Amino acid sequence: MSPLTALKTAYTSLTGAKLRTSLTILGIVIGITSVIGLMSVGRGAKADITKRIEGIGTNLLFISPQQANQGVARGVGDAAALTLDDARALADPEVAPDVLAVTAQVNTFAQLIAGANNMRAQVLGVTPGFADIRNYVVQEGEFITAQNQQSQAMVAVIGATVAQTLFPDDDPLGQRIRINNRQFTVTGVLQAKGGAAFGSQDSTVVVPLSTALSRLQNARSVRGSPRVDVITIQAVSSDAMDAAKMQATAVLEQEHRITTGVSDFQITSQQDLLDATSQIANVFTIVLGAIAGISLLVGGIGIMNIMLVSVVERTREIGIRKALGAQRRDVLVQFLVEAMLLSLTGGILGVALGYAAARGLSKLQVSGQNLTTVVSPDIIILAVSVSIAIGLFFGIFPASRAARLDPIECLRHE
Amino acid sequence: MSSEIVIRLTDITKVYKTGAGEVHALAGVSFAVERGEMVALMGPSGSGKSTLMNVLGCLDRPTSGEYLLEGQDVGRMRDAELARIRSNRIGFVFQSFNLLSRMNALDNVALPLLYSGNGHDGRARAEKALSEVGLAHRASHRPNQLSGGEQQRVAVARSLVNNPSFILADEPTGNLDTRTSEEIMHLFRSLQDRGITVVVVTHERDIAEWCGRTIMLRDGKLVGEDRHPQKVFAHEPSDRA
Repeated sequence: MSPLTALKTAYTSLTGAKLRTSLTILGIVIGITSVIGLMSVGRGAKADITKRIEGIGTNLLFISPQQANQGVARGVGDAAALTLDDARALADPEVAPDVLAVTAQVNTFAQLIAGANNMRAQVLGVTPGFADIRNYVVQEGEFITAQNQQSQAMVAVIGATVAQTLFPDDDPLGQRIRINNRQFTVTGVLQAKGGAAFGSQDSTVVVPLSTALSRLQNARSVRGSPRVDVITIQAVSSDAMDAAKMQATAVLEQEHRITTGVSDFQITSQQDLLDATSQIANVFTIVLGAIAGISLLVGGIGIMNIMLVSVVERTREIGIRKALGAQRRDVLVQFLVEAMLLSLTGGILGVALGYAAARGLSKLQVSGQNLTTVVSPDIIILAVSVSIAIGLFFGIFPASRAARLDPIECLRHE
Repeated sequence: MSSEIVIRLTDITKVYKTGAGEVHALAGVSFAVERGEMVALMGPSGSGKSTLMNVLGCLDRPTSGEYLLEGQDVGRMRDAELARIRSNRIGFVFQSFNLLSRMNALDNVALPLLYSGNGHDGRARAEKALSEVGLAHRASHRPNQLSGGEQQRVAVARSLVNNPSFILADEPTGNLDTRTSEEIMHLFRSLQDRGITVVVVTHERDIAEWCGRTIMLRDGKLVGEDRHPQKVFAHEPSDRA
């Protein structure tokens, strides 16, 4: 029997029982729809996170202090620390040629007051190069200048959310703002970026690092240089990330006089962040897909059930076909093609519906912004092949049962 | 008529093992059918008639004995080979027509072509077979739109479509009234006139009279063989539409 004939035969018998056929297909449609819909949410979350991490900047390495719990204790009160000197040392092109730019920052939370409005927000003390390295775009006014940094100026650049909260009606530029009860002048407003991950810059206030160190906190390391919380390095290119990391490690180990091999700092690349979050997002996607897969399994069992009933109902037909010369293989193929046609039709409809579901889900607001959903071709290919596989898997048992029937018994069957 | 042997059965037995012991459905049956013959196989229920028909139709294998179909030993063949023999050499006509209800007359006639490998000119073959039984004008009708006699004609066309060695008709008139029965038997006679071998299994003497020879079966044995003049159509052919 030619494949086309088999398909035609299957089509004829499936359209012979329309209601039953559509209900069986519906099971697969629901399964594939939920697989595609839920996996699109997982993939969307991954895409979202990736976009945000990439939005932080390009070719970045983040250096943060790490308590050395093991190894030689170096005296009481000598907590691990990064200092402004470390940042200066890293900026030396002689020792770290693959480092393009360096910026140091201190992080603190502070109470902000402007007139009758107040809020708590993250306050970053940064060096002027911070804006370029971290993709902070100023909408109005200007970013922290070298002059500000030099003079420990009491100036602040505020995020879009901060601007909206503290100055709902006025232009914030030039306005006074109290940070931990010290008076600052707003000299810039950052462009809104959206997103809540990684301490959204929208609800951040940026001040000069020197000001932050002297006015907002006062911590010096045992080596006398002011402490900073994070040093961010930008490598000259994405290929130079590893080299830059090695150079930075060497510089810091020398600065910190580390000889034991146990460092008191940690260097995390953007890629490390991406890898870690992608892994979480992938697990998330797989879990969602597996949950949806259960409904697909139920749909598959539905196909098997209907095919078994169909074999019993059509015992006489099987007998006639066999008497007229059908081989076992012909009968097997006939029923298998029917099962696969059911599941494939369900799969294709499910893909269409799943795509629509993903579009619908992306209209949903989650914590103030639209849910990101991504339907990638690989999910569609996966869904269609899974549906074919389901037809095969759940069709083979009924089909082989039909193929093995004895024609004499079948012809006696009423 | 030539004396070429189409079917030769030699000492065929069929033993079924049941809970109560062995049942000898066929206990040594031998006969031969020549090409172009129309033979009736008669016997009361329990005579082994159905078993013999299953063996003749290659739906079942004899326990012992030899079955030569056009000189080829088909008694020991595997299932797949038997299916091929059924497909190419045997045309089945059943008591209850056994047409597939979802297909129209033409598709029913063409059905055996799916399995015989003769499908390349399938439509033309099926149309030819259908016009041979006088139902070309009913090609697109489904079985439930046809009368019993018409359905059986479609079944006869279906049995012809692969040019079989012989047609095996199992009680072909069992579900038909007398007049329609005669029309169907007349149709078989006309096929015989064209040189087609026909074996009719029946328990009605009236029907057997249409054949040139009657083989009597009782308790799994051949109990008589009778050559007689063949009955001819008593009526004018009825309006087939």
